[in-house]
Amino acid sequence: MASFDLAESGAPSRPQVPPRHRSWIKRAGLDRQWLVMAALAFLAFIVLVAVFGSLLQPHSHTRQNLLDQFLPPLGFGGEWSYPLGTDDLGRDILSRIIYAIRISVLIAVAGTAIGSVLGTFLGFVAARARGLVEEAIMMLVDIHLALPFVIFALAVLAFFGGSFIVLIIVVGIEGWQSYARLTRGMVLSAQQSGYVTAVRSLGFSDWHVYGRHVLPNILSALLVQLTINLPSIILLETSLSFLGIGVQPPMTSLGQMLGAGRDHLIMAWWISVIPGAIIFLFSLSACIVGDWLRDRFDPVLK
Amino acid sequence: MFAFIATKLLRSAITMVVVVTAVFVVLRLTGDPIISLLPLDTPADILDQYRERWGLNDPIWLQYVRYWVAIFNGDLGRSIFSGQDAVKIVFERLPHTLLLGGVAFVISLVAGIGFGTLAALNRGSMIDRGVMAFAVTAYSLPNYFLGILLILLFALELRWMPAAGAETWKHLVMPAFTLGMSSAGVIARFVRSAMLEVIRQPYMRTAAAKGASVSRRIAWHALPNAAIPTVTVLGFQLGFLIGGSVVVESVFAWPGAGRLLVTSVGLRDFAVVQTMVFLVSATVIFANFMVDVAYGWLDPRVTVTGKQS
Repeated sequence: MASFDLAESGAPSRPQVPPRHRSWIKRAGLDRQWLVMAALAFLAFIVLVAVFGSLLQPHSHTRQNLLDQFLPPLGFGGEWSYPLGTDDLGRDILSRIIYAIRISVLIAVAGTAIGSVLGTFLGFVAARARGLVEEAIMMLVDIHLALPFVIFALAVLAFFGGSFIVLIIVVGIEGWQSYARLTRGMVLSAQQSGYVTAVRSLGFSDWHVYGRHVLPNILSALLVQLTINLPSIILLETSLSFLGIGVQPPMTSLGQMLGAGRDHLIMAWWISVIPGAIIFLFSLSACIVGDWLRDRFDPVLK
Repeated sequence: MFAFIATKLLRSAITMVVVVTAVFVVLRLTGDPIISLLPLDTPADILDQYRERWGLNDPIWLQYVRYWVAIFNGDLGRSIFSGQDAVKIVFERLPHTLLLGGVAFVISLVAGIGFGTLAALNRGSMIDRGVMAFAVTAYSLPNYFLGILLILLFALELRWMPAAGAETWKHLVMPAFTLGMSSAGVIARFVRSAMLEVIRQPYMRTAAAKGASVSRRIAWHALPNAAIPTVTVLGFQLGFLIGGSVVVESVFAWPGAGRLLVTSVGLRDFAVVQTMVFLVSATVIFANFMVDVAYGWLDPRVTVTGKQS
């Protein structure tokens, strides 16, 4: 529903450089797009931390040391043994952040996978079946669009008892409708095109027609949509965890850390502010990259 | 126009049925509230007595039918904890949420329309870039984090504003601002693109040729036409505000219905959660129905199917 448009504030056009002198940066359309490059770099950094962070983690994320409670980060009177300070139980914030990034990225990736597969599949079904089935699926899309999903997520999670798997499924369901709408529209127009008629007249099955021919054609638009959806997935998970209904201790996520730090704001602002800043930059970067991708690869999506 | 309204009304009704059914199924099939209500060592026969009393032993379809009958009688059950009427509990909290949401909505509307118009009229300038940067920041900044930053700065550091509670108007400032901001970003973006579309139209040139001043051209010719696509966004923003209020009320300890929902969800209080979801859905569905009607009224080109002819 909400996505942002930064391309118009992008680089003014420059004289054309002969193609052989162009670096990969220019070929990717990143020339002078400093903001997009910074956002891509931050996303890459987050992914690297998520994958390899356990190698760098100085302490265990659950190791407590009550003698080292509320130590401030470096630069605010902290010491090198805890570069980002410690929390109310004397746990190392840096180690917890690294662990939390891994959990948050895992939920975002798994949630995105669930939402995109489910939504794309239902989009195909709607476009293929038409009639009542299509009507029903599009109605569900409308319902999902109109209602505040976080309230339903809250209800479902509480009644399933805060299980990690249920959290991932709930976060996954959040995004399905955008893929369903997009896929349905594109498949409807693909069905009118020559190549679908040609493949179909050769007697291939629906699975072959849609899976092997239509899907590859709409994949790039779906991938753009995936990036555009990423911020809302991140924000949903962190909100639920912040309210204490998402990720449960001893596991932790960025939202859970922030929520737990709220009680100690007077004593130690860093417990909340550090994970909060990472969530903000993560979602901001995804927004910027998503808009850039959309403007570059799929002007129709506007 | 009658067919248009009837179609929209039917869709709204079906939506409501789907929502109520889904909520009922999810809440009933996922847990036994009696177990979390009574002490762990309660004998099985007493557990059963309680289940009997709350009608939880009856077949699920009977509970479902009973649920609908009750809804039509305006009875959404009793809180399993306080024994009070769930509707009454929610309504006691509702004024706080309406106040917070209302003020936030006005903030988002004024800021959104103001910034969006300003950006469109100064397209490509620093103002435009500033507004777009504000919009993307407001959207990416989670409202709980903005709330915590505001508390740190204005309540703990400068001591200008109270951090929590709802006694004076000062308590309202930070929560309403927090809740309004992310919406303002989205609205600003939509108003900007709608305005850009409108100021290209021939009637704007006609108005200028007739000698209308810039402010008159914007207020009388551009804004009403730019309002048409924006109205749809406002319908979605209501749901967005309600969802956001759950989080914001928790950050600022605002005693509204959103916080009630979070605590009831933790206590597995079926009746209160059901009532909340029911009320929120009804409100949002009604608002979107009104938006559809307003859209049809504002823009005569809209036909029954909702597409422009």
